[in-house]
Amino acid sequence: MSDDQSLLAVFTYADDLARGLESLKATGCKIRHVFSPVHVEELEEATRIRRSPVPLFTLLGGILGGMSFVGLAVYAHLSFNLITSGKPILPFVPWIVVCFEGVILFSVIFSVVSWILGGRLPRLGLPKGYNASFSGLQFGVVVTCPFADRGRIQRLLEEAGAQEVRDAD
Amino acid sequence: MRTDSGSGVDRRIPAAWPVIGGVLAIAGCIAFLAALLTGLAARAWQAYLVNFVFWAGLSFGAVLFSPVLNMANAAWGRPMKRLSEAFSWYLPVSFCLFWGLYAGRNLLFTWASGPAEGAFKQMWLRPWFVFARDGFGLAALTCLCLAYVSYSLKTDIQPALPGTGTKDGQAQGPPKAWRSQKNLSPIIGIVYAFVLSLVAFDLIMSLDPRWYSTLFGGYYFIGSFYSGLVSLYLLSFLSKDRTVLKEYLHARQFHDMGKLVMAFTLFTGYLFYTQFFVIWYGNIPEETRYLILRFRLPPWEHLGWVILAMILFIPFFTFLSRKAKTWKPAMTILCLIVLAGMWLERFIFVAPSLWHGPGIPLGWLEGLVTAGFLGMVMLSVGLFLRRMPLVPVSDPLFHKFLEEREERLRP
Repeated sequence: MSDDQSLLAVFTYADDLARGLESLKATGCKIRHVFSPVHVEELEEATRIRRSPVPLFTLLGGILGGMSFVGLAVYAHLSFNLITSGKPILPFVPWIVVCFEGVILFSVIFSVVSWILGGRLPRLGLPKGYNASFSGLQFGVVVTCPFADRGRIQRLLEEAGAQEVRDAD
Repeated sequence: MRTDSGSGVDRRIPAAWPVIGGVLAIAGCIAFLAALLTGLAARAWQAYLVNFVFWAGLSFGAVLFSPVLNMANAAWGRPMKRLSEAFSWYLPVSFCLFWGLYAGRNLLFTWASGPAEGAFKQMWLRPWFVFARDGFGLAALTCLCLAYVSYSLKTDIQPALPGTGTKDGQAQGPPKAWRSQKNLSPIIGIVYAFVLSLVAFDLIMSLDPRWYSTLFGGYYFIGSFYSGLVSLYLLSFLSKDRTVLKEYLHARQFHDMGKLVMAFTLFTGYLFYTQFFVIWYGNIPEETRYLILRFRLPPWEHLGWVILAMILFIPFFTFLSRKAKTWKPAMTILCLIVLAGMWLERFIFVAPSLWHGPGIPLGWLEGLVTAGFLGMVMLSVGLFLRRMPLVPVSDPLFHKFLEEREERLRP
């Protein structure tokens, strides 16, 4: 049986949580979850979590959308091969609008899909330690440490500004 | 010696800035006069007009930044308020330079040396009428900007005087000077759009009296605001480490400024495309020949695409990076590229309509005249920043900025 224990620390301020995370990293404890109602750059830097793939998906979607819409326009124009108002068969100037629409549409679709896949939705169960206030007015962190270090870790989190530190189980 | 309140130190921009500006201004004046006396008058006036429309637009655009923040009730850019207002000292100089164009009108404007085509254009483009209305508009906008800046400075220079909003350390409601700034802000915005549109139509579009674009005025004043924002961005980076502003300008302000500049990069590109698209679609010879000359025919055809890259593509892709927006070397180089691109854009509006010789008329003369105008701007801005408080300590939005800076981040 493992003698590890999971602690949940609740924070009100993002800078306190970032400081707490920096302190935790120095102890070698494992940070299981960090809960934040909003995206905070400092937390991302403090946890050194891998960068979100959403922007990359959005970019790929945009490129694909722009290219596919222009490709569709090229195909349609070459199929009919009609000169209209003296313009070339393949008039690239107005296709900037077509390309733009394709970029926006596919970027949005790829973003939404990457949120769903990246967030592993739908989730049937909630992560250990989660409570509704972490989607409202508080931040939280779940950390696993050896039972013997419990007191030290609790003090460390309280010194960083945690409002409350309790068992996560 | 005046110190900046709140900091307790007197850290101003180096005295070398206005001195260098003065030297450049003198060099530019000598080169311009020498060109007039040595048979290069047409090129000299052409360079003069390009620089007038570029630097006047840039200065009005930079000053407009502060009223725009007031209108939006925005606190984030408050440390840059005085940098923006510093350009106001160039505006009276610019107004005087405008009258210089009257001396060169016969070499610049076809309508000045003979009547324009059509009854309306003959009436609208009478030389005295053009200079009277543009002079009146520029004078009105200059006076409004100077009045705005004087109200802004009033309470910072003499913060303890009665009626400045504080008495025994107690707030006395919105001070008169602040109310005046708030009231003047939208007026300056409206007059800016109107006057700069007029200048664009009269001094740039009329160089080719048969060509017209209803969007040209809007394109000019938005481009001028873009130039003004970029020059403020550059000035913020250059002055940050040398002045008391170091305490207030941080990565967050530069990031926000970068986002604003990026928005205007896109907006300027958008306005270019909307004009280009309509002209391309209509395919009317009197409209298309203006673009064909600049994008298809030698010697201009490559310059047009280079300008598009400098003011749209290069800044757009650079501004995608969050880190680049706050990295001084990258942003300094980028701002210089954009400003050079905007200058070339004004050049390509003006020069192809006037120049019929071989090659592109870009040489030592254009360089020196540009250096002269740059020198006058540097001298005006430098003197302002050395004499006036750099931090707007009595500005309510600056107080809001300080409060927000102290606030801790919570959901």
